[in-house]
Amino acid sequence: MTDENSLIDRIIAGEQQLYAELINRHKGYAFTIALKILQNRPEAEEAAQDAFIKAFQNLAKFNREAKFSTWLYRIAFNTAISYKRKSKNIFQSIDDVQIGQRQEGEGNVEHDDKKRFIEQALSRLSDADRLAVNLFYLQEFSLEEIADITGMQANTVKVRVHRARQRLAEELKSILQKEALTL
Amino acid sequence: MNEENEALKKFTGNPGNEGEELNAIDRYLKTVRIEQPSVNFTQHVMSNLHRASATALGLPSRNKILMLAGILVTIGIAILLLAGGAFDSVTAITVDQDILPNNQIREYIPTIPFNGKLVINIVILMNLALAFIILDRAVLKPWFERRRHA
Repeated sequence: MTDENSLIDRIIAGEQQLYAELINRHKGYAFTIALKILQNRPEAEEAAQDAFIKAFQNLAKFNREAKFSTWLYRIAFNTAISYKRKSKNIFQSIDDVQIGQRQEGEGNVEHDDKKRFIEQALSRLSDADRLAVNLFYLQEFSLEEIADITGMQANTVKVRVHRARQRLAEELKSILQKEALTL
Repeated sequence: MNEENEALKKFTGNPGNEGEELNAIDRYLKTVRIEQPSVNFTQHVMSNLHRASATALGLPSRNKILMLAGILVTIGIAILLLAGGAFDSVTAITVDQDILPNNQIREYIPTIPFNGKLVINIVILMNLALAFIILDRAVLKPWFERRRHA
């Protein structure tokens, strides 16, 4: 953290090229957060890049009491949310994707279907819930960090992850029932 | 982090009662990994960074310049009027007795001493202070920032 703070100090002092190091350290998580919200790789990449630019522009305002990563991921989360609001109609519905995927190889059809149904159920969760569930299962973030990123209380995160998981199970059950009826 | 692992175990450890769906969800979510962006991600951000900082340090906003011009014009007009003696005769606020019927007002209404020149001078000074603040924020600060980064 001290290392990161000194790096930030040098960037603020004018060594802009050092920002590449911060980008390389955090791009994976920032991109994953944006991807979980937007569910579209090109959009997520653009949002993550935008988040890094915003973070750079506000680096001098960064409060050192928090971790840089948490601060950055919060920016990535908010940027992804605003991207989603802006281009809600452009997104491809998950229902449209089904037809193409069904025609692919027969070998792992059942496994692929299950994965697809879970992704479908996940997409029905709210953005914050979906991200909280994903970050929680990654086991890389503490509840406090997830709370800081998503703008919730730590206890709320705990409750919402628990409820989201149950809601996912219900959604999956109803999707599977609908699928069974169409067969 | 241990607390989270415990919590995760609590959520996922006894899936038997919660059904096949929960099992499937847990299995899927445990396979979720960090996604990686394209290889030129960092390069892309770095090149846009220079463009972004150039925009941030660019010309002062048009609105601020217009506001500054407006304040300066107001000050100029006020000084001209003041020099022409437009406020010399304004010395007190009086309620015109012709407007108010005498039968309704029995008591004498006092006139309020009022120095028009002084008030206009204060207004000019406040406008000058505002103009200096806007000049600093809209012109001087961006200009020095640009010089520092040049």
